[in-house]
Amino acid sequence: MNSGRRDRAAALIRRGEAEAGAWRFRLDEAGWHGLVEALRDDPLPFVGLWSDGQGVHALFLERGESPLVASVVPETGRYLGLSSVRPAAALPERCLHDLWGIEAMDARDVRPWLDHGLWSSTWPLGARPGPVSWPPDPPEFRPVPAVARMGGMVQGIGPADGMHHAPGHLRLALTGGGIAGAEWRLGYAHRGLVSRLRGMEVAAAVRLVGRAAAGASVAHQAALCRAIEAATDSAIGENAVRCRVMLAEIERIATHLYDLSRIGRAAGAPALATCCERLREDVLHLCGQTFGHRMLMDLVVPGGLLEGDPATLGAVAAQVAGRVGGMLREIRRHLSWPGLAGRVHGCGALTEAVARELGVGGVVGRASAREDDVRRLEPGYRREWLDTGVRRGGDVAARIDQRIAEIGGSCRILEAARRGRMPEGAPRGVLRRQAGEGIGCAEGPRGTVWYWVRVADGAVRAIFPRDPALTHVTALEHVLDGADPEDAELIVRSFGLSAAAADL
Amino acid sequence: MAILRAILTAATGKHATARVRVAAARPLPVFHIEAGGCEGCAMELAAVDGAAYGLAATGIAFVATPRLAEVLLVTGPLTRVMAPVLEAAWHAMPEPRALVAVGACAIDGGPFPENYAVLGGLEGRAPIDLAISGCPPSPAAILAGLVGLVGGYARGGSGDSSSA
Repeated sequence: MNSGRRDRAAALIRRGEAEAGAWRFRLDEAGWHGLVEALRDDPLPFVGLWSDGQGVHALFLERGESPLVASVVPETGRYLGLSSVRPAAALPERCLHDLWGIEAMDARDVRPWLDHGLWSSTWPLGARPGPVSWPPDPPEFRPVPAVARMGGMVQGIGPADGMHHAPGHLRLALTGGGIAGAEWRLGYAHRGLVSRLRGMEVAAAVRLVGRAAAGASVAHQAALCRAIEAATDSAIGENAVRCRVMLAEIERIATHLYDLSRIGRAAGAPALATCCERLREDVLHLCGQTFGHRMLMDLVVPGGLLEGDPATLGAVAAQVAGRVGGMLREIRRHLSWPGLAGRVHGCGALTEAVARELGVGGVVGRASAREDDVRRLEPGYRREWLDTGVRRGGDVAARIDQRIAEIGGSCRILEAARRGRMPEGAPRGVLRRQAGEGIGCAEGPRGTVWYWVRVADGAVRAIFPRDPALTHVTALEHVLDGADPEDAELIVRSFGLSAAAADL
Repeated sequence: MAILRAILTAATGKHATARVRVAAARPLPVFHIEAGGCEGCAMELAAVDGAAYGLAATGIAFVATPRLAEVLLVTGPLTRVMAPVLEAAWHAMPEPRALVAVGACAIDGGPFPENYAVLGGLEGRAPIDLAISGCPPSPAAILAGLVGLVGGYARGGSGDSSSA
């Protein structure tokens, strides 16, 4: 009975008309309404929501492993929104409306998100972009009754606070007893990635998504490459698969170290920060010397690996694993200092239930006991490599601990991956077909990156990038509510939120 | 000398401990705005501002408000939403002030030229005093460029005082 209800939503999606293999189905309006109703009881995890101009598509992850897409054609420019049953869909619905002008009915929130009224047109990706009214409407923030009732103040931070991160505005309502409400306003870093990618040759598109989010450049490029390779029915060589694994793990180590150092600075633990900064610099310097790019951009290309030399990469992997693995004990030693331990313990807790509801995965989700790691689906990984597990705390301490454990795990994966058999031959491949539709994913340092792509004549016709940053935004608003204002920056950094990756 | 030390610091991974004498009486205050890129340049600036590079020894300090800054350092392509923010920061700065563009995006838009959401780079829109190219430039390149600015400021300052 229970399992029947569990799989009901997936079964409803499959009742639609198969449009791309056995993973994307087009539902009619009644079918879509039935799906939304079924999602009320069915825990089918929601991943992303987008449009390609004709349809609205929702990506789910069936049993945590198979991507399943439901599509509906928005007659009269509207569709029934998912946010009433999947709160994680609220921000994607707002993005979709700002970009395409397609409206979600029964939505939790219909305010603009990406569009501040300063673009050169409204609904820039839609069939009929609209004119812009001048001056733009002032932003509309959620009311904070506690401040009106108890007195207090509203503090706005950003978008230009002199810190080295992408622009974003955080609005904190302060009543003296802590934060009585937190709200993000992003969109400052929106660059129109989707509009740029449409019509691009696939190789150029992969180069551009390497600049979607610097901390997850390999993940974005690998996820799009996998989507393109799935669309064009191309297989890549075994050594290219292995190289992607090693590059992804080096990137994970570097970005985890970056986030740890910034957490350390915010927590008043300069010794921890210093240790991580120097170690990260060693890794990036080595990558820059060897590959000509410190952040490993443009090494992953569709069909294989650009100018890839598995032996060189293996040598770098060994050096990184040795150097970082040796320093982990020192990082842990800094963590055990009582001042720091007291500061981060119990701070900014995200429960497993909320993480699940808001779709928070990645390192943050795993620190909240959510077993969510798509590396088990990625080619080249073995299940026994993924041994770092989850943490139960859900607080800043758990997120620090999870990152350190995963750095150790990545070192072990690097060692194992480089020792594997390296077949001879150049790891460069060609795409077998020039057209098709595919989906691909990669577990980035801060969560799962997904790409859906439709390719024709070797160029991108329609595309959807999904970065985990958008889920962090909603989760942070939840976690910051009630927290000590002194801890706000620490909590934000412990999520590793990248506004650049949220806006795209 | 300072440039040499900066490059050496980066190349060897060792960290400069000796103080470098600069002509300025106090560190040159720099305000950084990321105007909407991939955050790669911002991450490299965070590295410059961190323990692996001896920023304090070069006579440069990042400040948290444009009111105290003499240099506005911009990374990322200028998005239409960030343009008023950048302008407000620039006008909040006391004179004399300098504009520094770091990375391909901030200079000419790089991979993100003008579209519905982005204006592009600063080139042609504002007089750039220093451009540090790269996608992203390495911390060593950023540091070398900024140190050159300190030198330029010191020379310009002494020239003014001798003519006065």
